[in-house]
Amino acid sequence: MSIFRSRFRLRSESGREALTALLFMLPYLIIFLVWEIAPFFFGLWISFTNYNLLHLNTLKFVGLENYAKVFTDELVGTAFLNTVYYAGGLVVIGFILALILAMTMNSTRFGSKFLKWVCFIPYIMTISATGIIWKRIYAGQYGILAQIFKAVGLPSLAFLNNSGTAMPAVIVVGIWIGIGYWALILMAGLQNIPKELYEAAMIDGAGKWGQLRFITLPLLRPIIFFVLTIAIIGSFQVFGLVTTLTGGGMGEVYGGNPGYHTLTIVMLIYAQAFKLLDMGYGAALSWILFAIIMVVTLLQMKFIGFGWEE
Amino acid sequence: MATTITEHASVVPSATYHPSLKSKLVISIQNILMILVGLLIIFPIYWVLNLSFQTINQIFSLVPVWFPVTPILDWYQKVFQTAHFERPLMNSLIVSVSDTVCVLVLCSMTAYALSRLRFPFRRQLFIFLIATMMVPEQVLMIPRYLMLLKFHWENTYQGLFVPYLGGAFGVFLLTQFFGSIPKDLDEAAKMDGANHLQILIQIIVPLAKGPLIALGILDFLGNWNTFLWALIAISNDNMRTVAIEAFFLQGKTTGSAEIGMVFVGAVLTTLPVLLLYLFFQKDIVGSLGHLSLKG
Repeated sequence: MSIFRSRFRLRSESGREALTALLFMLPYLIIFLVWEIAPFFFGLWISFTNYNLLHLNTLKFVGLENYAKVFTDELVGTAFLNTVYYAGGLVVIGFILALILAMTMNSTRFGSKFLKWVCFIPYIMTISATGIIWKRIYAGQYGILAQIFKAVGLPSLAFLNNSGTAMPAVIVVGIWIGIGYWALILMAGLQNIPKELYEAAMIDGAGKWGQLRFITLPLLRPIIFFVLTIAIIGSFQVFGLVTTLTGGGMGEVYGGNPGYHTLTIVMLIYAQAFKLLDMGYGAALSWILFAIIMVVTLLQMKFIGFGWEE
Repeated sequence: MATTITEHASVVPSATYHPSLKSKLVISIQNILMILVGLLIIFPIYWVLNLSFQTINQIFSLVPVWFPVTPILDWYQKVFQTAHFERPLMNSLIVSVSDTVCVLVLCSMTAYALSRLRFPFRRQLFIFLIATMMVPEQVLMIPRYLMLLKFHWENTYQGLFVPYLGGAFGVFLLTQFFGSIPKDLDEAAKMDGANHLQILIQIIVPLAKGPLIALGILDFLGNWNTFLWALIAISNDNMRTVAIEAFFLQGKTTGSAEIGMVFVGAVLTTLPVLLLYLFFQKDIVGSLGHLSLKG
């Protein structure tokens, strides 16, 4: 076979392969272009206009006006603080609990088998069903929690209506949902740590805490980073849970209970864009949310690191 | 490499090292504690089931009714007769199944190309796709809604799931897995005269059953549970998915005499999810570990 013939064959073969690849990917790529790429830029453009479904005829470019409004809107500040409150509580408490749960489940006892099976269930449940259930649990007189508290002498309130307990109550549900998911991921990471390291450490006289500090946590860093990242990103986007728990009737524009104590960023975006139909403002808010999430993720990378060096 | 060994030293020294009577007691207590925690976790699900079978007096009693000794089916009857809950259930089923089928087909084909075919910019395309997963849906939902209106896809089945078919998660998962299947199999098949489509269907798919099932289940669940987009894309009562119908049912009836229906709504919404989990738990949880360690 001459060199000329083999080179010619290769070129048409690779050409055919590329064509096949294109054909195989075309349906997906078309949908990707239309529904992922186009909306990305379209949304950006909208945020620079006064797009409002109520008066489309006066559509015009308004530059950074929407973004400026974001910084002067009092409700944005409230929503932002609420969301940070939720994210902070959820990630700090939830993550620590998940880590404890993971370490507990990382054993062969039959109790842990049951836990492993059960803990993931809250994560896959439909969010509105979860909200319905917990709204009832937290209800004032007739909710099981209030009744138990009353029986043991603790203050029994309508937890979701009380300004002090509303957000913590929501955080508890958030933890209930996420803890199994995070714990299972952490456990997969734990199982990758070789037993010999712990044995060696014990021989060197390291106790439980020493083992935790010098073996478990450092080796778990990539997984910890992963779990923290998905937890934070998810918590900033909280919507279904808070809306079902404290959304008020659909007649109310924003929801988040009297005083907006549980109004989150995404609830605000939804209300602006789909109830007040102010798409321009809503789009700007959504891009601000995107920016916040990016910043938080970058900060995470800085302070916790990928953990790849190890 | 993920191991399947479950006998790993955790930070809490296990009893395999000091099997004394005192430790046996500690193990038993640990077991009981773990089972208690597990029961506590599923308690809310038990609770709503409990409530769905209670009479109105029991629901509004000031003392908890832990178990409905005489369960009533009235609420279930009402939900199907007056609330017509079968319509949202059907809507959700149609949308979720369609979405799952489309995702499996589209992502398989794309993953096949990305993992086994050579073409220019292949690597860059893959990285680009993954990068798009970082964009939160709230950024895209407003323009997507406006696009829905332009296509007259609001209140339609396709409007509910087609926008999500562009997601890169499935492509990512399958490309990683397809990439681990040796290419010699392709060569052998090519020598037998198979074309790429045949290779995909007859060789790759059977070998990738695990991830495909996992992706299918995860996708079905994700779609079934979708809240924000389902709220946006549908304004017509008839076309609501089950997640949204339950939400609206709650809005209409909290505190009133119809509250039992809300609990039934929650139960019916959750039931398919729990059933799927019962059957496919290993696949779902397995793919979790696979993903998090590779990603």
